[in-house]
Amino acid sequence: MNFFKKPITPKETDDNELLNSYYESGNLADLGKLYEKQMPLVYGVCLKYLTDEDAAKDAVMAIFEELIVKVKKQEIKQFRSWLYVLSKNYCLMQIRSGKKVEVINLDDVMEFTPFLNPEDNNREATLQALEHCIDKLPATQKQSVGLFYLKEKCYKEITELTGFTLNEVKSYIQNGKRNLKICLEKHSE
Amino acid sequence: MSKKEADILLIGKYLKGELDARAMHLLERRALDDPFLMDALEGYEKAGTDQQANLDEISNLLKQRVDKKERRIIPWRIAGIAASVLITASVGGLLLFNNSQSYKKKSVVVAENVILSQPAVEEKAAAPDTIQKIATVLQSLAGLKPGTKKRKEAAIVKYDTAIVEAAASADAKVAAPATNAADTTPVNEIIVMNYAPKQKKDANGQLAAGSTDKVKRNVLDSSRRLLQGSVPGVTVNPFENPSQYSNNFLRSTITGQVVDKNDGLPLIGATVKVKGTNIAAVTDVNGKFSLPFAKTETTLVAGYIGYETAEISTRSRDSVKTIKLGSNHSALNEVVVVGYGARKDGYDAAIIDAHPEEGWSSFKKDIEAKAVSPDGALGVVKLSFNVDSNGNISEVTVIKSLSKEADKKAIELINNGPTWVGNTNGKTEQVKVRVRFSKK
Repeated sequence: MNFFKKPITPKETDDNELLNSYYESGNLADLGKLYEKQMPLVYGVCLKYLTDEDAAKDAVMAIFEELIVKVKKQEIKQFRSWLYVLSKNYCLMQIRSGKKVEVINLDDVMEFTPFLNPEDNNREATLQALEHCIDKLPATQKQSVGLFYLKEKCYKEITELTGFTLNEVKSYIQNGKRNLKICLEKHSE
Repeated sequence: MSKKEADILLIGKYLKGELDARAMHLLERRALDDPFLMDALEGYEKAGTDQQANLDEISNLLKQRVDKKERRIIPWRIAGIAASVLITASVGGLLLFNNSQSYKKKSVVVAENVILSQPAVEEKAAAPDTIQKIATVLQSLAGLKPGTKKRKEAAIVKYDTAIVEAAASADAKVAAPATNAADTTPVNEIIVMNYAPKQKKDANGQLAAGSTDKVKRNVLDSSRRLLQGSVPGVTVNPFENPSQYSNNFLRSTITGQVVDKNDGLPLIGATVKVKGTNIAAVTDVNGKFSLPFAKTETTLVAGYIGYETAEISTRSRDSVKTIKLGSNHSALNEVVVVGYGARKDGYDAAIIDAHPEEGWSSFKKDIEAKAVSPDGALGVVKLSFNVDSNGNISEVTVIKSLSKEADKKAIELINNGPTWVGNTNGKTEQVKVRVRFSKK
């Protein structure tokens, strides 16, 4: 078996490089390294959805197994984001098979794509639109978004400044972002 | 890429409050754009405790897993050969073992029989179908109306032959309580049922007595053979009951009753034998027995499963003596029952999430019925709140607002609404619900 192992330069290899080397060699160690990098985050996600630590540990290992199968089947472009989706889906399936009542998952609201990238020459216009939209936001959202993005405060500071609870702050920022996005899209039409 | 590795460290510090405001803000901002990070952060936040041990554990598991997979490819063939060798060896071993075992069994049985009974014991057990035959014959016998003499005799004849058959095929082992308790019961039943017709009308008393006498003799003869040597040291007391037995009996039979020493309850189906002879009987439903034995002085031996066998001496003219048997505390070996609970998924079966005390459907109905907003708004308010292990609600937050009034109403409905039961794992859980304000 020794002649199967390729010498791999550790840690400098990019995610994609690791992935490619796995595709070529079929050496599980590559996949293992790749997974290991993201494993703390995967575990965190599992903790979030499954709550129980043991269940989360089991899930992390099970996701790895699924990974092995799926990597062979599909061509993966962005390993990290694909892994996130895989982990989340696995956890949700686990929950669904256990629960009778549907848990409304509002994280769907969060979009993965970054904020709209305006063209350079339209920057002035977009900035203006942005200002206009921010103004339209409900007071709480406006305040939270402003403090977070414009004043670059952290959640803790915002709670101290506004008196909102931590969850409220998070909620306002998330909703604010969403509303701004909708508003900007409307304007760009 | 070192940035990625530091992620988990950052998260750890963030949660412990070791980061400054700026660093916290940066992490939060990243999380807002990166749901992977966001979810993971939330997960660790929820867990509360330091997860380093768990992380090390899964890291090890992964290493093992990766190593294992690589090595696994090789030994298939070897494993296959090894498996087949093992199987043939074990099968061969089992066969040999079985053969030697069966020899052992037989000798044990023979030895037991020798101890308890006289020699010349046949190995055959009472054939179940002969017992059946006897039983059916007896049933017909019992069901006969008194006065149908002919039929009775016919039945008796049938019965006789059946008994004889049974006797021929049965052996002492059947009757020996210590060795084969199961087989004695059918025989006992036979004897018991035998008394039923006898106890019916006295109109045919003479005849009945006569016929039953004959039946009994046969029964006793054969049961003698059946019960041969089964009951060492039982003593029998003469049993006076002229209504049941003809006068002829008193002088030539020994009758009595076998009871439990402690409570005096009759023991049904106990075996009683005349010591030194092959004469034996089994007690009836009243614990009474009768042995056709003429000598004045003799020793009777009585025995029963779960009881110590007893011997008493007797005189034929004595009044009814009762044989009392004391219980024998030889018990079965302890039986241990092990239950394996079925696990439906990987989690503990007992973990139940936070839920309304009366159940979700009742909760939903309740809330929907009350969901009327003062400003008449129609739509859905999405709320989230925490339920702790005692079912207390806290941190009610509006995730999706409908209107100020509707939101307020929704919050109020949750706070004053149906009671909740917390997650059985004791952790505070966040619950999300939608309150629909619709036209009523």
